[in-house]
Amino acid sequence: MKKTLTLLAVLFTTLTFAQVGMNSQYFPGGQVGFVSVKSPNYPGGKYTKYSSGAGFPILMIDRLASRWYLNGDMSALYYAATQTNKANDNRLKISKAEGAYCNGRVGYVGGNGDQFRIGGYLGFGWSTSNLDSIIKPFGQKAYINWGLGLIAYKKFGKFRTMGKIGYEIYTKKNYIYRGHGLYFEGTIGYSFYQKYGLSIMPCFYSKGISFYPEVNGATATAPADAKVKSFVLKFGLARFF
Amino acid sequence: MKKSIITLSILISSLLSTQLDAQSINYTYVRNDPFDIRNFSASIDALWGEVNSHNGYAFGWGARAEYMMGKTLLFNFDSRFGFGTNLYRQSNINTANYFAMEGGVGLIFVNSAHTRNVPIVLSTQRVGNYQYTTYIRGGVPAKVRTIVALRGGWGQYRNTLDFTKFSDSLLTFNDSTYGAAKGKMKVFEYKSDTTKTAKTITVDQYGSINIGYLYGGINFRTIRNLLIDVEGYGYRGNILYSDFYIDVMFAPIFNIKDFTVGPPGAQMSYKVGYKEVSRFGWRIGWFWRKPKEQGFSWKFEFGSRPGFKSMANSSLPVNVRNLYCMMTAGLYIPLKIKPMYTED
Repeated sequence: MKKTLTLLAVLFTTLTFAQVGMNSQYFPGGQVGFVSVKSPNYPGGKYTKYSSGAGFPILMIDRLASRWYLNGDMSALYYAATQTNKANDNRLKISKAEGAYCNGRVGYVGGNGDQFRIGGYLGFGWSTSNLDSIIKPFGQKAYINWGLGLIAYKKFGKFRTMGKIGYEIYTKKNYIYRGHGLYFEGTIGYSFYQKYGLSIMPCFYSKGISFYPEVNGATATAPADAKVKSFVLKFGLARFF
Repeated sequence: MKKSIITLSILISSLLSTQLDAQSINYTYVRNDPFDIRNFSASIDALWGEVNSHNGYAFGWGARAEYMMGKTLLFNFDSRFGFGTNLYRQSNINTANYFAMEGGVGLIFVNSAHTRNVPIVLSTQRVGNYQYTTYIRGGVPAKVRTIVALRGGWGQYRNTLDFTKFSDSLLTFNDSTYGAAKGKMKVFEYKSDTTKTAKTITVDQYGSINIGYLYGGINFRTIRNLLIDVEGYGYRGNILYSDFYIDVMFAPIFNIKDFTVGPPGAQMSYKVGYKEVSRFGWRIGWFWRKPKEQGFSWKFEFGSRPGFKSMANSSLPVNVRNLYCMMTAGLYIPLKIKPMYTED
């Protein structure tokens, strides 16, 4: 009888999902860091390579709860909206809209207990990079991104950490000839009060894109190569499970 | 025979219709306690948008917090900062970016719960252009907590003002009417230099407005925290934490910024005024969040700000230039902060 109960208990434990994870809710949040764009730039011929501080405001939710990983990101769109006044007033030197206009990721993780999770995810969305050195953020062109990634979660006392590595392909007819990107995202969250705290997400993105640039207001017929690199620290509020 | 057939038909029809409307639902209560809440919430509102008659529209981000302290006190704070203020970019000196901030306190005089039936949605189905929603007939008895409070506080509002919408005799520039300012005084233009042949530069007719106001009114808060397990449907609930408020505003500070024109170093400044100022305004608003769980909070508000009085010959008792309608959306964090009131 005791054996049966023990076996049942073990079985029950394996079937029960522990409450693990965190919700990094940068809704809105902020980021600091830099973006570097190396691109044959034709309008005005001003830049062939430029680096700038990353656009500060972001709008993103990155959530791992029990088994499911979800990410919704509208950071480039939110940045564009926040810069409307400045852009229309020509106070922007260059648009810093980089990343997702609207992007989503869905993933599933395995593992037992509340200490560790590992799994994979798929992503799809619309993104932008300022390859044409546009000043007005809403003037930037968008492209489709889709890809996959690996995610791992680990808990250390009051700290929660996550790491992601992902690969993306970029596509858009008459704009992107071919393109791909690799990124790393880490998250460190610390619980301050009850179930809530802060999270910081160091991220590195690298994109190689062959695209049709704008030449004096018209789209070039031959593709040109561009590289985009960015390293940012995203931060905001977090909820812990 | 015919009579019997008709009688039978009516009987069958009524039986069928009764059968069709019959609803046999079994459920058990999982949660029904509107006092089991988180009494504080803070939110960084990702986006708010406002349509108003001062400059057309504005949108931006904001921060908000509300706290129900014990049984008798409410606190609220709300702020909004513009990043898309219409017409703001037309001038570097005359216009202003949208900004609003207010804070206040409320005194609760009703804080109780009563049981009444609340609607529970069982399922929603869409067929073509029609949506069919199935409810539990008559609702489910739930504890509904009602809070009524008198509230008051102080607020500050600043925005760009479109003078072209005030082409009436009440708007003045150095005590001259808008018409005279625009025509004879040529307030909205200047010469690029002192020579007669110098180019005339026209200035956009946009300024800014600043209002400091006291507000006071009544706040109705409703809290429902009902969760039931319905046989065949699973968990269904009626969960709500909402505010409805009506405020009267009184503005001791109503200021239109001086209008400045001219080339750098030789600028002229005109004192802008409005002859008939209405110190009173009003607003009606709603605010929604969940009582315990984290989620998105929403606020909707419309009203008439203190400021411009209606012209004497106008058929309207209010000046439409004071009207506004605003909505905010944010992700809030709810917390339990002592002291909390629980029904014992």
